[in-house]
Amino acid sequence: MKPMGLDDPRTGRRPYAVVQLRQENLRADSYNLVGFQNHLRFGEQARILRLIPGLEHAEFVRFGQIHRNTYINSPALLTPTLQLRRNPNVLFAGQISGVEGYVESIATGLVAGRFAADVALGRQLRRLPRETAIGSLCHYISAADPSDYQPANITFDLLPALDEATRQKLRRDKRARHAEICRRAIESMDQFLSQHAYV
Amino acid sequence: MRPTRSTPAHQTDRLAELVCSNSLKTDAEGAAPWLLKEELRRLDSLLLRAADIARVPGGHALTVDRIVFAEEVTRAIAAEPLIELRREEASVVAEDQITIIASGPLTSDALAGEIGRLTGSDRLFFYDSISPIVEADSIDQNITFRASRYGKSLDGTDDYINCPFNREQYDRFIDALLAGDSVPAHIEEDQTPFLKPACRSRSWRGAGAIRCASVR
Repeated sequence: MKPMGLDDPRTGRRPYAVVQLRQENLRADSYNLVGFQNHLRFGEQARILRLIPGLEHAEFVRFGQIHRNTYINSPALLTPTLQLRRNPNVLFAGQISGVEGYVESIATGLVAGRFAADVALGRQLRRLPRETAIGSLCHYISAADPSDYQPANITFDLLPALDEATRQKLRRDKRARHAEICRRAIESMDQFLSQHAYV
Repeated sequence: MRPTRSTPAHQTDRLAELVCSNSLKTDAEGAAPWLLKEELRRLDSLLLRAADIARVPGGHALTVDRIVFAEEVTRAIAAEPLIELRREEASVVAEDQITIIASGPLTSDALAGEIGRLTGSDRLFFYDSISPIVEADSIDQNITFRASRYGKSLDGTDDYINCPFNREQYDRFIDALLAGDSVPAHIEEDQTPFLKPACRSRSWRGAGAIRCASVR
């Protein structure tokens, strides 16, 4: 929280302390609280982090977590088809692949199984569209910044941002923006399923 | 691996034993966790079918009975003629065979060593350390300012949004942080103050000691 080199342009002076927020590569419309990895209860995090000047009304996309885990630095190692880049016979799924959560683990397991079947049959690997939550999760774990990788839960900021016109139209209505992202994802999933014998 | 070798958290020999929460998060239409589940249902996910069978009342969340869930999954795998279930510790990955490694957060030391060999050992992590993320449009830009330290940006833009504190605000924040209530650990190992060296090296710097205190 050191303020060195960070003069506030409004006052021309260095604040007593600062919290820095960074926009993470591949996450749309959201900011990471740099260095605030923590173990507090989620309700406590909401209450305490809103004491940070500028975050009084912050809406949280995710809270901090620290716990025992085993995972690889997936963006440095995996393809979007969950294969090890240096050996495509080896695939990763579940928390060890760099996702967080039961359902995220289920999702990567399901697609890893399909990818493995594609490899076994010598056919083209069938990737789910990027507009889907599962497609975005696979994209994120293979393409995020590998220098400080943190496992990912599904959140809307992992999915591609809406086009500018739609964002403008729905800028005051977060529920409607989320509903539109869901509609787009499901449409894209249904289209994918109609084109591939996947299920 | 189980029951031949167990883990610090599992209690049974069933497949898909849930060891932390029994919630698969919200199933309220329009939420991101709902979207993920909805996609999986469209893909006819076996585990989502098991979760729907094992469902117990839990409001908007898809909450499951752990025993029913694990039994459903175990039964389905056992009943599949093309699957041979072998209860042994896997510690070698044959690189000429197609292998999916899905050993989870409590991967055994032997398999972790093998994964280290496959990937380069510096690429395996043993603790999660996740920072909070806020929505951009919920940040009060009348209070914050954009800047990089000493005006040095990595890509020509002001990389950071900075939240400035005066002394009074800082003291109040630190007091709240120190008094905050932490999540209890799921396994014994997590009770130990294992994060001290790791958190000293991260970017909180001056307040490093405070962060260590808050992770207990």
